[in-house]
Amino acid sequence: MRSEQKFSAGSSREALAGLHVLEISSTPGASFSAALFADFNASVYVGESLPDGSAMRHRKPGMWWQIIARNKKSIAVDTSHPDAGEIVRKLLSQADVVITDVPARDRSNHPWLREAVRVPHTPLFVEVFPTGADQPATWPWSRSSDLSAASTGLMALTGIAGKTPVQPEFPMTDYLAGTLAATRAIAELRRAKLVREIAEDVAVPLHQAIFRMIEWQMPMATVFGSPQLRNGNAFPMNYSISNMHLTRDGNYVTFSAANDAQAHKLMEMVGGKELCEDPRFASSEARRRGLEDLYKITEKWMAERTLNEVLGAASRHDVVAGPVHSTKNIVIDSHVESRGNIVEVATESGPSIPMPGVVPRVEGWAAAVRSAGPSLGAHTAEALTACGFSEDFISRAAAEGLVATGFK
Amino acid sequence: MTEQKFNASREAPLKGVTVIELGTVISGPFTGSLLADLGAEVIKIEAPGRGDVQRFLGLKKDGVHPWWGVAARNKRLMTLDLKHLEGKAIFERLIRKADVLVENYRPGALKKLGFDWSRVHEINPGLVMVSISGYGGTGPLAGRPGFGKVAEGFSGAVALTGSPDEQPLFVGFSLADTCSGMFAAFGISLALYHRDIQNGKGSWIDLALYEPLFRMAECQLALERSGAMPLRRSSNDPYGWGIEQPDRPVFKCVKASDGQWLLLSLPSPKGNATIARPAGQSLEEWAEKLTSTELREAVLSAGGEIVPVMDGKSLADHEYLKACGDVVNLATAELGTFSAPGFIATPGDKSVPFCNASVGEHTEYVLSRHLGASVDEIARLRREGVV
Repeated sequence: MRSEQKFSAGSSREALAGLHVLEISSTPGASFSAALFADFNASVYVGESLPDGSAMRHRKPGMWWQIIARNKKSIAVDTSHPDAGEIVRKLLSQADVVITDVPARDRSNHPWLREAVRVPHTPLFVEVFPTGADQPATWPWSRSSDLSAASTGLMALTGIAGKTPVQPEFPMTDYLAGTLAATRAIAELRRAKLVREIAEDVAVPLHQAIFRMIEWQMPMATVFGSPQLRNGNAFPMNYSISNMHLTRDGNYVTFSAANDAQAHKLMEMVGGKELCEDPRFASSEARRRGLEDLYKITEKWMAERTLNEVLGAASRHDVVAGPVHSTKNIVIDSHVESRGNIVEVATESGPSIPMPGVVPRVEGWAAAVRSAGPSLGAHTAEALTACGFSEDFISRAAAEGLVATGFK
Repeated sequence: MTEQKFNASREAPLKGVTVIELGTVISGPFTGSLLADLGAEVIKIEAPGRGDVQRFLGLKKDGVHPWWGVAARNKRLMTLDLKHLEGKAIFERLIRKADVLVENYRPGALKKLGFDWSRVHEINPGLVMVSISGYGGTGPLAGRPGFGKVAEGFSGAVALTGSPDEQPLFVGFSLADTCSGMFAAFGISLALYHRDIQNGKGSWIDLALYEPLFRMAECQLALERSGAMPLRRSSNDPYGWGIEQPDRPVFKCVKASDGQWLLLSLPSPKGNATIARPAGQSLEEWAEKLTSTELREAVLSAGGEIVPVMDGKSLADHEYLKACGDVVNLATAELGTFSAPGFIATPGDKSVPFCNASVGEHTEYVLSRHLGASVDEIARLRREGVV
């Protein structure tokens, strides 16, 4: 239950206001974790090494940086310069949280993180790193972030039965690991502040979030002696009605019926009361055995109708169904618009770009996308001033190439 | 080298936080599970009778559903009839003392029972409430029912999965539900921090099942604006975003001669994977003549990357996952020896990795421990069908 606590001067609408985060990352998982902090009003600075800056800045497509670095600030330092250490130490000293893709065992080799041993105040380290990177002795395989989905169980479960394993073509594995890390880190920060302890570091290998999400896969495999494997668009184990069919006008429609009541509504829609009474589908156990037959009926019914006709019937029968949206459908969807799911964000150079709004939505909070990804070093001067460096020092450091300030 | 700060004796981060879960398959219960993993006391309320449908999902052995045993672990399971007047009063007393309320009833259902956000906020201004529904609490589809697979289709994620020549593919588990659980747990963590460290007030989190996936497929909107329509390309490249990227490596899933599937990536100037193999042999044909170990050596020598595609069995057996604490081995009378997922944070002192709890198993505990109800009062509530 709630503890008695004197509240800080943070804004009543900005959840993480006053929290200083330093991001040191070249991969999407840790960067997304930091983006979640930034969405909720933490001050997130990306520490970038000159001359090129963060590797995230250069990943394709080009707009990725604008989106993943939204609401963040950029500090650029030539970490190979002999005087860089003092600057990095001061920046680490200012941080409450460091979010990185470098596991603790590799910190001493990293130009930013090796300075952490020499700062009196130790920030909370949040590490989101490729599977195996923390314990290579037990992981003889590659430690590349873009292969991490294979170690979650997801790919073994996705695809046509007996054919090639598949994963979605966006960095879901990385981003979910980043979300889990942010969740744990904020919970730990709260605990540590309440009991006035030093927060304990958070380490999340990239496989860990999805691995936890598929909570049944190991119990099923080890209790029954063999793993569940990909099953096309039907659920593994056929445990519930759920599939996707093509409509007469060439669209895909999804439908789902997780309980008896929903199953009856679906069957009544495609085959009337007669189908509900068919002994092959009359109980959940019978449906599990006869699911392929039921899918043949639903497939034929949907193939004879347009998407709008299917969705209209679903609405009348209270059946759970929906379209498989491509992006071009999403951007014109009135519900998406109404929820404010798409925001238009100005960029430092060039036209504004659309990106997803803040998730989750919290009533009354000021979480918003305030800026797109910053140019290299745009906030170096601001950050160094906050660390106590003089204007003269910053000008000299910029002239020597020790830092980049983003000023032309 | 600096060491991680790790204190084995410290408490789980949400120890002392009380959560009421009005969850039904799958997003609400999964949110509760994550909070329990983080150390919260999670009280799951089910209607008297059969309980949550989640109890019956998947295969069973000797009457035990292994999935349920993981979903219910570290929760206190009580029954309560929220349509009964006295049931409502008990619920009010519970939320008055709670920190978090998780619900994924159909939109409007909780309001009909008399407990929408404004009411629970009035009862307990410090309460954090999360509502998960198919389309969220606002917008033209707000009242429509929605399950995970429909949300996956709505989010854009399904259109980015599979081959362009075939039907798009669902991911083979409850993706939107569990993503929502993950983002709900994130929101709760934030809202508790906000309440306890910032301003003392509770918050309401309104989450649509499709929104976490939509948030993560974050480049699709800008790509569409640029004219590069994102769509599945069978690339198996998670950084491909469904567009042509000639500078990216080639990703392939291949099957080795020992039957193991492997995911590999190879440098690909101009889109051609570079690895020495006999003329006329495809990558797949070449791979199926080599063992996993031989493939690993060949791919790494060629400057590529390679990992095994792991399933429930190989994950349970892997030394690395065991070392991470991701695998907990245990045994029960009905199921024998088996493996369950570890905890996502340091487990608390009450943590158990598996619990095949029956409907209302902890009703008495919750009523007496949290509300101070006497034995006689609990007996009366049972007689009257309130619990």
